[in-house]
Amino acid sequence: MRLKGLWAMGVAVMLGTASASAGELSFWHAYAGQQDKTDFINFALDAFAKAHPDIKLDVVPAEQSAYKTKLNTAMASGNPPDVFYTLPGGFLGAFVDGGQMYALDQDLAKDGWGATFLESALAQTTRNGKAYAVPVDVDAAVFWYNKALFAEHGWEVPRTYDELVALAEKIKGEGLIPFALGNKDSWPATFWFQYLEMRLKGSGAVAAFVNNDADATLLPEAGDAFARVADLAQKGYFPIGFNGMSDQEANMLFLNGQAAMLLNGTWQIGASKDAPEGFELASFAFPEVAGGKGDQTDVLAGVAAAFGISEKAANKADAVTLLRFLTSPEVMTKYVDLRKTMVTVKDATTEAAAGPVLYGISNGLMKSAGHLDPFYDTAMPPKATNAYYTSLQGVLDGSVKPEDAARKLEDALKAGQ
Amino acid sequence: MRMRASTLPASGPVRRVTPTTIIVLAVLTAHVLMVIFPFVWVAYSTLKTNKEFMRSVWALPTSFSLDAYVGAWSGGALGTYAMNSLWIMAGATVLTVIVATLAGYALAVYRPRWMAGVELSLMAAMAIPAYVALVPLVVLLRNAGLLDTHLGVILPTAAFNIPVSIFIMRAFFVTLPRELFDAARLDGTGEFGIFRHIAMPIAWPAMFTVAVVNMIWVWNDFLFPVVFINSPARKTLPVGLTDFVGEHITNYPVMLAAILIAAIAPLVLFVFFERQITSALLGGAVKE
Repeated sequence: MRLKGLWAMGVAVMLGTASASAGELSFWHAYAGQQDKTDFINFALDAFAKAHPDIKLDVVPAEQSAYKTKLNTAMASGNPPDVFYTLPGGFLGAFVDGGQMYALDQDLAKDGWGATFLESALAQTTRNGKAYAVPVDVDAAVFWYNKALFAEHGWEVPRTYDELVALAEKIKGEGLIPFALGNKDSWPATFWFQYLEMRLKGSGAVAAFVNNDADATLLPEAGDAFARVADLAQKGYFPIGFNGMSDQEANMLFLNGQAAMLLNGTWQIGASKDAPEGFELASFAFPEVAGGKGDQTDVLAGVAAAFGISEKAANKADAVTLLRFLTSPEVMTKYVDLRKTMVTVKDATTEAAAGPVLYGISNGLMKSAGHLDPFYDTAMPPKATNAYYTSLQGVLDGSVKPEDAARKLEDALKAGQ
Repeated sequence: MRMRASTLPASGPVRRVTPTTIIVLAVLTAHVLMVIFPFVWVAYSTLKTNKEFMRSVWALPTSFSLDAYVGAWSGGALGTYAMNSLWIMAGATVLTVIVATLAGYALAVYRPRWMAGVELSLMAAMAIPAYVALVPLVVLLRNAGLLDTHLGVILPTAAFNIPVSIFIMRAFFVTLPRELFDAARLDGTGEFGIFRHIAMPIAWPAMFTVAVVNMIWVWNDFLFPVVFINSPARKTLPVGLTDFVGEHITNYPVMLAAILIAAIAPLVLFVFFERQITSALLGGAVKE
């Protein structure tokens, strides 16, 4: 026993002290737990090993939710990986404020690397004028509907919010669930609130707080937006028990024809891959809200993931080489092909790789949008995100008044400034 | 029931079927079905394709296919993960039982004057949530070169489980009559001899309780392994099972097959040691 312990310690010491030297990089990512994610990372890392045999990678994968705990702990204990996957907005912002991120501006300026990214996407990984990560993919939230079900019942795609509510009433009358929603993890219902706020008030409401704009407000429109979400819940347009149902469980209701519509991100295309026969996925834009002050063509779309380099990384040149490789048009087009997700690199979301549904969104909805407003919950500081989630859940189950929720959220955002 | 029975002729071991027994049996059967159904559901769901699963969660599979098991076995390294879990479980449990038995004995039998202080600090240690300790632990483990090793999970896990385990052991040793030890002392047995030859043989059931409880905790623990282990080859089962859970997309039959494979080892253990485990769990709760 004692010998074994000593032996284990010896091995451990050797492993522990073998920190990255020249030509060696530690790389953490969250492409795990889902076939399309592992397919992508396997492809990218194999290709990288072939193109750069001199750079050795020490790769640590973890599933998204476990990854966040793991990375946060590593960063907080001063033991960051050299290159890593990160979320944009508040998650990345905390690392930047802690002085742990390497600013990429000089590297982005070289050989026009920076110009290959969509400006709106790069803006989401930029803080205080400096880019601290390169954005990878973009998710847009849109309405998804089962085209076959709509044709069967003679329903029509709504153009205005009032038409949407009228359609929901009709669908409910025929014994089906109008909108699939599983809000256990708190983020799925945020699309409802955010789109209403965008339509009623306009894009950039939360961004104004994050950018320390002294005149930033959410009210009074936020009260109206919360009230409308509460109204939908009260009328029974969501599944029974939606606050305790997971997003993937709600998705099942949509795929097997029990629910007619779903407001969700573009990952819905991948999530509909195993839909039963007779299901046909199609999308429409969040409808216009009468009297709304916002640009009614705006789309809720944001960077889903990014890659950054730690300030402590000993080997920044190789780290930049890895990032440039991962965001090269070839790798990014493969990303679109395997994951059916839009990417932030210009022209990499090709029609052939994206398929008709995604390309329709990328080339139609996204291009004609007045503004793209990134996801509120990831854009705001983590503390405000908590307030956002709890007040929205409270509004949905009727325990919090819409005006109180709006005020609480605005206060949390002000406190975060 | 008693009245009824007394009016009947003595019928030996043959049980009479009365309305009461029927009701009792019906309730018990319903209960057993409720408990068993999740397992049955998991088992038959693994035979479906994901498409079938999406069409209906409850429906039986339409064809017999073991693809989900192939996917589960090739999708992760379940065998390796199970071995890792086993090592960590064994290491942390043995360490905890040794320390808890010695400390519990000392606190119960010697009753030192500063015992209140020790108990208070143990109680305080139990109140520390694991999340709070994560960052300092990572720093400690890194400095000791133990990050990303099994020992690096075993030591903090044992440290967190030892306080409760000491309380269980102490509660057991307190029930032993002091005369037992005094008699041995008079006979000239040394202090360690008393512990080794008198206290320990009686304490086996309590030690078994502590071991079983710790085994369950350590086997199911997610937080420490996920944070302290980086290499895929050193992952434990609960962490490894997340290989099968997607952020937005999950292949359910494959995930359920992986869960079933992962559950085999503990299920087999439970079937063989059911009596010991249940009595061990009760042993901690009831003083005899």
